[in-house]
Amino acid sequence: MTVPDPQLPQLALAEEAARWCVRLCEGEMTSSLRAQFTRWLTSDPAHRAAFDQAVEAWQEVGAAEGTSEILALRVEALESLRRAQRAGAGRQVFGIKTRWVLAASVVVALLFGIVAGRYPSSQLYSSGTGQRRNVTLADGSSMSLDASSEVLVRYSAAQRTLQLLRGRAKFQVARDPGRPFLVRAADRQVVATGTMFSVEIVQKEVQVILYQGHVSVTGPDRMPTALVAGDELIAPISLAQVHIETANVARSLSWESDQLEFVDESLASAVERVNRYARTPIAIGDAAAASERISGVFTAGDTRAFIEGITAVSALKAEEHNGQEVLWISGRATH
Amino acid sequence: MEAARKQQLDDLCRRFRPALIAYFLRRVPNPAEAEDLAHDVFLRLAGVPLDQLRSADAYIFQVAANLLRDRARRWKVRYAYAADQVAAAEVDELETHASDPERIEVARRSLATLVAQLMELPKRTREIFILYRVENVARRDIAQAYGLSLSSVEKEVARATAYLMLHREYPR
Repeated sequence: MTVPDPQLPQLALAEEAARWCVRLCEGEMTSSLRAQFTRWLTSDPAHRAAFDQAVEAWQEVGAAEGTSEILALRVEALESLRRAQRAGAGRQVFGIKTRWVLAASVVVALLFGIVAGRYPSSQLYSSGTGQRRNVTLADGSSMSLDASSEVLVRYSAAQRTLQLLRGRAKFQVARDPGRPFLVRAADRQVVATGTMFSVEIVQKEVQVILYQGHVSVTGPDRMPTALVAGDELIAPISLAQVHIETANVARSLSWESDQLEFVDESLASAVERVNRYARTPIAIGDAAAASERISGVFTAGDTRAFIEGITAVSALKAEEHNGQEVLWISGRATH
Repeated sequence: MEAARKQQLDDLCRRFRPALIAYFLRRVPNPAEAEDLAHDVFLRLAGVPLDQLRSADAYIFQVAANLLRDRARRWKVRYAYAADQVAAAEVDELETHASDPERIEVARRSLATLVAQLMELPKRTREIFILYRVENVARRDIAQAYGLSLSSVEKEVARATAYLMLHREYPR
């Protein structure tokens, strides 16, 4: 004989309260359902308390919906829904409602929740390996995506929120002082009104370069750092400290013309950028190679030229391993 | 245009109806009246240019507070003596809460804890909960995509909600 779980009645109550939340969300209730709800609420003070707690839990999730942690879960959920719908489309006789049937597009992955005019609307823009994308957003702002990059865009009446999920993007912001333009990248947030700037996630750092106007960047300590045009801010993810230097504007924009330009860059960040364009990504064999500093101008997508270029002028050595080029510091490649 | 507007209103309703009812339940004696008031809030929103709202939620709870104030004033007139004290107290309470319209006390569990707890849920349960609660995807669309019944979707959402409810970190 099993001992009853003391949690069980509590669990049943919590689930019941949550189900009432769902039913209330589903629009006008029938009069018999309304009567049931009233009866349920008034029959026991514990029911009232549970209902409040269910609403609280929902509010809590709602309040966190814009954070990068919850955004990651949302992207996961929306992608799962999209997959399920694709799979289901073949299975069902009547198919799925057209508004959920989305053209598969490599360029713009239109996610859900999201169909134009809906509230809230978010859209995921992504670029594949070796592809750069220019996107004009609903407010006239434009966004230039580096290869292998992803930005989730969510516009509301109060603000324009963009989340850089990976890679790099440059933003030309349409002026709208009443509606701040927020770009989140890892734990950093860049706030702008009308301006042009780029945000990149590379090697556990967020890098922000301001080309025009003003932006302010906040991190985990919530202290804003204001940038002036020409500044490059480097913020290690999850540390409060930031470092500002003068950006080489031309060099920082070279990726938009398919050039990757490095000056005294660590191999790790150079390779991460080169790999955005590489069909077969380059690997780094050891820590010493990762921290090797390299310089040079390379054509995006020409991985071979990159490898030849850097191995010619440094102590680095390339070796093919399981079909992948691995860069080592010479002398250590004896594995 | 009208269809888009209606969709917008429905979505707001979806997002805020339970919270509004909870809000009214703290202030009016019976659930039926709380529901009616919540319904009135959405009726009032019908004439509002929603696109131009800076913050829909703050506005919705402001409308809710105004409705309660009107109601209290009506009572005051109708039951000039008997209800005076009650109504006055009610208006007072409203004034003190007006600055923070979202009267639901949101649990201060850390974001990391919230995410960790969501991650403890089965993947499908978590996804359905996020789709329903955050992305406002219709229950029917979720049901169709995953090949579930409407009540199974409801059950999954309830399961996730209950898990968060039972793992709150703060005292009550």
